[in-house]
Amino acid sequence: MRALGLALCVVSVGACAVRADDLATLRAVAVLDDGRVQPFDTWARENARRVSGPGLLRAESVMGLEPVAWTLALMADPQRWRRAAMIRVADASLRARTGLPVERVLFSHEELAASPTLRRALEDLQARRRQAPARQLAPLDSELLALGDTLAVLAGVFDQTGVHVLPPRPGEAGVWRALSDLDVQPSASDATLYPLREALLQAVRAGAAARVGPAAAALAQELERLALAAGQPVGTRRWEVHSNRVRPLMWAWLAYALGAVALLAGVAVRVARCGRLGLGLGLAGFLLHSYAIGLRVVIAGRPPVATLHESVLWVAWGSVLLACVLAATYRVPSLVGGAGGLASACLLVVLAAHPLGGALEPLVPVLRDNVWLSVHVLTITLGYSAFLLALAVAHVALLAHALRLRDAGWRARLALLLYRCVQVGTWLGVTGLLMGGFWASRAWGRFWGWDAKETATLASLLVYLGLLHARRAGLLGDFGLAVASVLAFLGVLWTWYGVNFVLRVGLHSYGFASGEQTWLVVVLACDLAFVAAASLAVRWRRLRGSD
Amino acid sequence: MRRVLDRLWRHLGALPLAVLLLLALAFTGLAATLYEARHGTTAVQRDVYRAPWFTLLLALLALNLVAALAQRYPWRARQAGFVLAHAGLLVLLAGAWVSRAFGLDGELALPQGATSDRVTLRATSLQVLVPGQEPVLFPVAFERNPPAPGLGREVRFSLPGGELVLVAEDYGPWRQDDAGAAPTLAVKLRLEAGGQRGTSLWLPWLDARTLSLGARTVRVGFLAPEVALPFRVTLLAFETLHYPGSQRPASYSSLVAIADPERGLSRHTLSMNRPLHHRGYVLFQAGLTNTEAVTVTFTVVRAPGLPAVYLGALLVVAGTAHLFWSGSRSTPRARLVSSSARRYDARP
Repeated sequence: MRALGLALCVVSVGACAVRADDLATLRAVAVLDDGRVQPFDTWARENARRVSGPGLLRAESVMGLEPVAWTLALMADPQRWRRAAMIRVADASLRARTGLPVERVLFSHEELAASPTLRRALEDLQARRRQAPARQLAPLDSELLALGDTLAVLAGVFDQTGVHVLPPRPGEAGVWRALSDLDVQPSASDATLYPLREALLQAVRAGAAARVGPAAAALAQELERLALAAGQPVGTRRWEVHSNRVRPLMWAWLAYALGAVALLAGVAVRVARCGRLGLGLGLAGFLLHSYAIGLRVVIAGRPPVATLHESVLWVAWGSVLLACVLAATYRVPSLVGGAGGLASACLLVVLAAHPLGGALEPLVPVLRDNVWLSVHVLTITLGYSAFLLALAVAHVALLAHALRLRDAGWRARLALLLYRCVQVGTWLGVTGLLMGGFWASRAWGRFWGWDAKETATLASLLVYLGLLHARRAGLLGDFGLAVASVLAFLGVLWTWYGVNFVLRVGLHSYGFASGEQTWLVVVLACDLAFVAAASLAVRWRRLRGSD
Repeated sequence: MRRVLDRLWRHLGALPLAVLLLLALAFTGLAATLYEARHGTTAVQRDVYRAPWFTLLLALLALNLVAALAQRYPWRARQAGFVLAHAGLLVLLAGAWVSRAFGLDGELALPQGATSDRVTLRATSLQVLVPGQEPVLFPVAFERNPPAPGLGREVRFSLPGGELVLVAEDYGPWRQDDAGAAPTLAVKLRLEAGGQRGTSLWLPWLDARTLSLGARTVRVGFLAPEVALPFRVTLLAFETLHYPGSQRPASYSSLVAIADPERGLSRHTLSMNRPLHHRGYVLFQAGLTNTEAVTVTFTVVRAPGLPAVYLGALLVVAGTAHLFWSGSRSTPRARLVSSSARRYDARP
């Protein structure tokens, strides 16, 4: 109870720390980019991230300005901002390849756009892509392409031809016009917008902070009115702005991480209060994590399982949920803090790529059947959650057996928890797999076709089923169960990540990304070394006859 | 002898065999995904999933299930989960087999405006027309078992009429001599009767040739077998919808007309996850080619075993839930168990 109270305190204190904002209404204004109608705030932040690189924990900013203010500055004073050294080209080899000065990291748009070597490198890349469109890009090429995109996007902001905020006119569904259209095609609705835009940009140019707020609000109000007339009500855009600002995912990560530290400290120092702190922080993290996922579902209008990063987000959440359920059922509160630690590692992976858990993209056609997408994918990924929790508990068990921590009874309870995790994961996985078959028989014409992902999922579940049957047959003891649970997770990794990013075959491969696998291989190698070492330690103890 | 059979039977229904089979199937599956990445989907389907040894592995699993269920008969109430889960799996496998043996799975490619009632199966065959006889179809698997010159490596087909024999003596990529076109796969054929041999000809895939022996001629085609549907399908129109302001496809849809002698004319719209159901057949949009005219490829499926598959799936889900739930209910919360206390137990 006290732990829950602590959790709620942490969350509400955080909620109070929200500041007032001049540009609030403007942030929610709709802009069309790459097939998605999104808030101006999101688009501005994406651009800021393109320019100054992904920041893990700090909010996006460019040269001291927050993204929307920066975007307005770019539009208000393009000449000055073209010459500002704000674009970060972090990769030294990319700078070398494109003939940019190697010792600097920040460049101006003018400089980059005028560089002949850069232009040639981009043209060369485009030609190569036209010849082999399906080939995966090398990391350096991806970065070059991203740089080219950044320059194009910024050029569109400078002259406002890439700022698609003007809602479709009646009879022109889906055609969002750029802000620059106000200069060339004055129509009735444009006539009201033109002076509003000018007022805002002049205020920004003059640095008159007091006038910017009201001018932005006036422009935003008119744009919203037009959007509403075009059938685009504000809808979830305000939630998205809120989510961008509050960044619940980052706070969830922090709470989880601190909770895990508290738990470890409690174990090391044997102070009960640390344990309760660990539980409270873990629960706080879970609440924030749930909030982050809830926001994402509301904003995207679909469950959070369409991309790899989203699935990591969801799976981590599922692990903590299962941990809470098992902790309550078996009275093992430390399980929550431990699962929180696991979740913080997962969230770190996600946050390193994107502060929200990945840019929101429209769905590929095959995924647009929302109900079965929800049910099938959520079930399977919850199965992964259970296996992930089993993996974590198994590591603790391996350590416990190798170092002979605590007593045999405690180790037996660990084995029981582990077994339950595997049971839950197996049931969820099998059910989800069969649901997938049902979806496939409706959408693709067959219940089962040995597609790579289908087969890999089945294979990984069969390994866990083999594990359960072996335990039932007395072939696996408590230590054996832990080793098997760790090794079996390799199958899950293959299904979850390998099939889409290493193999890239089959009907399920729509989540393509340039998967960087070196770090994953290193982590796996270290983990297997750990398992081997623990096995040797246990065998050595058994040979010495201690029990 | 009887004791040997008894022991064999007990092992067939035993847990260690189950563990072995589960792991064997798992590793085969994982290896197969790697094989697919290397050699492609057609190769893995031909060499693994439709290969006899794989079917044997699945049959062994089914046998293990049957034995496990039979050896615990009569079943008690507390074994309900076990029975449902494992019997359900058997029902599912049976349904899959029924669909494979008695169902239809083929393709129907329609250019815009065209009509057809022929479904092309995913198989290869030699279709032979002997004058005065009914045309006959020989399913062949030259990819897997290519004929080659030499005794015992040639493949022989007895033709109707009793006298003629068609012999396939070679198989491989073949190029028509003068043309600069890419080689296609072809089979080398000749006719035989009594001791006489006719001239050999190369017959490319999706083509037909006339073979002769003396005065007799036979027309042979190397084609995918076709099945006739009891109705005709016409592709009236096709549409791709994009997400606004981008090139990303949002959905595809086709408008087709069905002309059925029993049920008359009807029009239907198919899209990505909305297939067309008609008299037990299901048509799905499978692919699209944008050559001169838009051609949509439909997958046509009839799966008579599907209800059994669905039933089996439900039983597995329910049974497994009961197995795990009742297991957890009977487990005391802070149980002290040493590994030596667990013994292989023939009765769950």
